[in-house]
This record gives sequence, C-alpha cells and structure tokens, in this order.
Amino acid sequence: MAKSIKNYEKKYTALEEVVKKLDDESLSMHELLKTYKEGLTLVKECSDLLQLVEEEVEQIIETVQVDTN
Amino acid sequence: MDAYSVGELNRIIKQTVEGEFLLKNCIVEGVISNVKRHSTGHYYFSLIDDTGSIDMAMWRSKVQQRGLEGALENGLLVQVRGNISFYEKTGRLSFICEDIRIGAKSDYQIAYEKLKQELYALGYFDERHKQALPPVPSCIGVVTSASGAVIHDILHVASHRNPLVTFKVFNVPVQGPTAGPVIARGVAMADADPDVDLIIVGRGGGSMEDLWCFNDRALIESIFKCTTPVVSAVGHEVDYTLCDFVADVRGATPSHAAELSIYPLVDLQEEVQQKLEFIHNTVQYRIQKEKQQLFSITNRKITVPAMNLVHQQKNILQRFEHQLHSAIQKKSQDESRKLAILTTQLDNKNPLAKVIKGFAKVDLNGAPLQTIETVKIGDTLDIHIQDGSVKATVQEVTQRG
Repeated sequence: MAKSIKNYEKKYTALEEVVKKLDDESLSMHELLKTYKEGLTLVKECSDLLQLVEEEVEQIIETVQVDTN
Repeated sequence: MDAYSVGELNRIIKQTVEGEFLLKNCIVEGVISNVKRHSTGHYYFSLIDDTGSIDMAMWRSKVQQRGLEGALENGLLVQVRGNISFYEKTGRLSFICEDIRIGAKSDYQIAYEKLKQELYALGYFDERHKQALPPVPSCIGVVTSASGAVIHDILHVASHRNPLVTFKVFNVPVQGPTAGPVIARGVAMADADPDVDLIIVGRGGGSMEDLWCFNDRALIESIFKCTTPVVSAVGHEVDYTLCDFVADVRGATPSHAAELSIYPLVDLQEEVQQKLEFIHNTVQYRIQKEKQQLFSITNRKITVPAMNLVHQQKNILQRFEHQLHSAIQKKSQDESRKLAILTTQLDNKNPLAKVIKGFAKVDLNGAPLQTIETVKIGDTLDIHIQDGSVKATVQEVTQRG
C-alpha cells in the first residue's frame, strides 16, 4: 500500500532535504521550480497520510465510545 | 288442634322459663370453660360440671361493676348468680350473670398451674431454647387428627401461599385421657423423619377438657427434645396450653400457625426478583463506571497525545509549505529585479534611445535602409521611432532632385 503510514518518515525526511536545498542561493530557476514542485508534492503526500492517521484515530475513539455506552 | 308458629312456641317458652320462680336470681356452681371476651366488652362462656353444661353471658356493665375484667379464665370454679334468658329469634337459652364469685380452683386448673411452674423451673419454656423457623420449609410434618379440621385449614392456607410445600400427616387422637403420650410419640416420629424440616402440632377449638391432652407432660418433653422447629396450633386465640409455651412458635389458631410457617411464594419470588435486579444493577453500574474510567484514561493518555503529535506534524508541514512558496517567490522576485536591471542597461545601449523625436530609423529586411536604390514599390519597411516601430508598405519611390 503506497499510502501506508510506514512511508511517512521517508517522505518527511525527503521533504526536509528539499526545504534545506532552498537555502542554496546558487540554484537555477529551473532547479528551483523542480525542487518547489517536488516539495509541494511531498507536503501533499505527508498531509494526506496525517489525515489518514487522524481519521483512523477518530474511528478508534468512536469504537471505544460505542463499547463504553 | 292448631299448630303453633315457631314465634308463638318461642314466646310461650320464654314466658314459661322467665316466669319460673325457681329460675329467678338463682345461684349455680361450675367450672368456666370456653371463655370469650367480645369486642364490645361482653363475656361469653360455658359453665360446666360432670353433669352438664350451660351457655352464660355477662354484660360489660356488670363485669366492670363487679371488677371482674380479666379475672374470668378457663378452669375457674365459680358460683354464678343471675337469671335465665330465652332469646326468641334463635330459640337459644342462656344464663345472664349478675355476679360471679370466684371460688376454689378446679382440679384441672391446679394441675395445669403446678405442671407449668415445674416445667418453667426446669427451663422448658426458656427463650434460649427457641429455634428459628426455616425461612422456606419444603416438608412440614403435621401432628394432628387426620379427620380433624386442622389439617384442612393448614392445607388451605398452604395452597394459597406456597403450593410447593409438601406435608406429612402424623395421625394421632387429639382428645381424651390417653391422647397426650400418643401425640408425644407422633411428635418424636415427625422429628425423626429426615424429610420433615418443620413440625406443626395441634387441634381445633374445644373446651379446656378437650384441649387437656396438650398439657400432657410426655408431650411437653417430646416437643422440648425436638431438633426440628415446632409450631403449636392448639384451639382458639384465647386458649393456652403448655404445648404453646414449649413450642418454638405459638400459632393462635391452626390457620395462623400455617401462616407463620409458610412464607408466601409470591413474596419469595418478588424478593428473589428484587435481589436479582439489585445484583444486575450493581454489576451494570460497576461496568459503566469502569468503562467511563477506561474511556477517560484512553482519551487523556492515548488519544489526546496522538492527536497532538499529528497536529504538530501538520504545523511543521505547513511551515515547510510556506517556506517552499516564499523561496520560489523570492527567487522569482530576484530574477524579475535582475531582469529589470538588465532591461534598463539594454535600454541605455539602445541606438534608438539616441533617435531624436520626429526622426526615425528605417529598416528593410532587417538592415538599415541607406539608399532608395534598394527599395521597390510593395516592399515592407520597418520604421523605428523613439517609442516604438511601424510596419509600412512602399507606395511610391521618388529620387531627390
């Protein structure tokens, strides 16, 4: 499963690298755009994974609540 | 001869009896038996001796006047003064007492009190010997006459209160000079029976003489020795025998004894139901409490920290996203600025910048037009002036001069 939360750390580390790269003033416009796109894709993927975690946590809470009522 | 009506006959009897001089204000001696105090305060009893019995009544006013309240007891030997009265409506005759002189105690009374004192001294009636009745007996041994009313009364009560209770009847005579020891053996047999967990011993109402066998020493001892709880059920409420004192519980009547012995099944079921509900509610309450606690712990220790982590990560991602946007914006602004500088620089070097207003530089096919020799009608010229350029088609060529 590509959307597995297991991939989060890998993607997050990649995102950190991308953001660090932005400090490099010598980056060409072309390289910068590529990096920017890459970064936004990673942000989107990481957010989606977090959204999944959030939904799963909410589901678990609901299950626990149903059990306790 | 004409027949009397019943009313006429009774009136004649009344006149005869009440008019008889011998029966006016006469005195009669005997033993009080079956004494009853009516709720109105009037006393009713029988006066008996070896030769006969007669119903007597003493009105409340006379009882109070003579100070006899509470003094009239079964077995008392008395001299009664009063008048014969005949009640026409029922055809019954009774002796209306004016005064009673309590004389010597009867033999029965003396024997009863002597035995009672002796057994009392021996501790037969002590509270510490009383056993508690089983809350729900399964088999009741009834020591009584199988042909008497007692067993019917008891079975009747049982059928209403708890039809599941079983009975064993120990058939004994309940009247007569030899009955006492036989009843004693019946009680012992009931006590020895492993099925029996409660004993009722008794008989219906009767005179003191009828109930006398329940004062028998053998019977009192037999009841005293019982390991099974014993309920006595002898005669009516006013009748007391030694059997009542030695038994664990006294029933005022056989029906009352049955009520004391048999707990109503409906009440029992209700109690069991209530207990069940109580247990159920307690357990439910406990489970709910634990669940809530668990939920609260889960929330505090797991859910909230987990959500916090997720939110922290989200914030970091937002910051990264912002950094990405600002980086590209900054870069693009930088480049724009550089471009603008270059444009200015280029503009400064633009030959057209030197073109004076009103003058133009004319190109033909990308090269400056220097002579009309090279231009023909229909050619397209590019005319550059200070603030722009114009494309024009040649319509006419004229040589100067």
